[in-house]
Amino acid sequence: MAFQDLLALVQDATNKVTALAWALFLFTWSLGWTLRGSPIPIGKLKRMGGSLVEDSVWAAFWLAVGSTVFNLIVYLVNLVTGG
Amino acid sequence: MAGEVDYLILAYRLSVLTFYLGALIYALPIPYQGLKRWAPRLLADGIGALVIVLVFEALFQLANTLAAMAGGSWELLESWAMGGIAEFLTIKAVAALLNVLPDPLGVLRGAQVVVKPLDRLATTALFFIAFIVGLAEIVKVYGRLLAAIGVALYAAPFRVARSAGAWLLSFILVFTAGLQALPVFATAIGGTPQPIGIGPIAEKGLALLKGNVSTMEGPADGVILVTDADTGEVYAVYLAENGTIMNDHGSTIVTIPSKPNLAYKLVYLNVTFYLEPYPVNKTDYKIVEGAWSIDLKTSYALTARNGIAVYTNGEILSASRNGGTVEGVIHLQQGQYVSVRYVDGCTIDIDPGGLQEVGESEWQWGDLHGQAIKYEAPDAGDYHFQVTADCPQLHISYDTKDYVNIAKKIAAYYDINVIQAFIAYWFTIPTIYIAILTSASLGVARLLGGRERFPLRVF
Repeated sequence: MAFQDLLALVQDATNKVTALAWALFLFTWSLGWTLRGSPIPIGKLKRMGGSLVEDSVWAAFWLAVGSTVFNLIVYLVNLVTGG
Repeated sequence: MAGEVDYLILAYRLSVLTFYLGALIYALPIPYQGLKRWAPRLLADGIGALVIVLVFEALFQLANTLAAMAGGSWELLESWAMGGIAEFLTIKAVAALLNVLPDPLGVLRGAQVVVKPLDRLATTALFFIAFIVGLAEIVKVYGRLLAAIGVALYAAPFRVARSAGAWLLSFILVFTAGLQALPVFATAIGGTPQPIGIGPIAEKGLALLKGNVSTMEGPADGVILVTDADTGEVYAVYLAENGTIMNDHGSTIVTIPSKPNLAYKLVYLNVTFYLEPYPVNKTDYKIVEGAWSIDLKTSYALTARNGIAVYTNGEILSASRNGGTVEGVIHLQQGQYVSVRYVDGCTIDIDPGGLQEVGESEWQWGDLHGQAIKYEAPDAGDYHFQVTADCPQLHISYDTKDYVNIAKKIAAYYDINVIQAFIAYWFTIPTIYIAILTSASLGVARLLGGRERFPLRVF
């Protein structure tokens, strides 16, 4: 495997992980609210729903921050190198 | 082959992947704390690796700046190492020289005793300096590539190679800064041992020699100067008794520089005679009874011993001695001379054989004092000159200069303090320094790969 293939593999994995993370965020956020709002009177379940919502929001926050920062870095590097 | 930039790009992409993996784990709908704990950890690792990638160039600039601030540079380290290698190779050369020299009198034993441990020290030191040179070469030439690989390893997700990467990066950075300053450190603490004494012996070498000196009638007495034929520099001064050259201790084997273009001179009663062959070639030395020997002769002296010297600037055709009487046939051009010198207290009878006496004078040679009579040829021709002398026993005292003292100088120079200085300068301090650098590398590696995390989750 050439080095460029390795780079491409990592890039591909990153893209897939990002897409999967956004999808999981939506799913987890929905699931969290569903559990929290469900008419099942089990406190533990509702707390778990709240925890899932919280975690998914953090995930979305970091995904947004990451996308912004990494894109900014790529933009700046391209600006500097003229690429 | 992938270069430094490729590995940095890989490190960047791996750090991004690590970061997103952290976000992904946050987003997982699995409320299991053991898994969720990886989320902030991976986010922090991703950011940390990204920062290192971004400041990679600056880290090297910092390392080089630190080295320059300490007064170090790669050139300094190189010259330090080359100086050490040259020094120890010279010691090995001297040790080898002292080993191969024939030494029937044991005059070199003192030097050997001192040089032998130094020889072993030199061998070890050469390996040690070669190790440092090799290390420096790796750090200098491949340092950036290795550091880039280190960052890539550092950035790999789930900390699979984080420690290895952190150690590699910190090792390269610390040694980039530290190795350049090694000579400064060693010199500041150990001081520089100044090599002296081995210079002359390494340049000129040392040879043992038996020598015979004669005049036209037989063996000569006096003082022998061993000189450079070109510059006239006197390397050694020995005594000649009854034609045999010997040193202060009465040894008939003396030391001379083993270099070409040597010339020998005989001094007797304050007259200097050039000894032939002049200058001496290698082929003039012969092996006699297992020792290098040389026969030296002056063709301008009829005699030079027993307190009397008869010499001329003409050509001595024949010469002989019978008890206290010396006679010879000398071919002289008009105006050429024959001179007779004798010490005070001699009973002397001269038959000039037709030469005219032109003057008398006095001479002083050390603590010896005497008279000189000069005869000149009125016409060109062969003159029969005869001298009968009965002189008191003569004792020549002269400041001799034994060439073996140069070997002794080595011994005197490489005394125990200098050996210690050598060990300190070339071994102990560099070893301590390398140990400090290694510890510093581990420390920096721990700092990079330590357990501390950024407080990404505030509550």
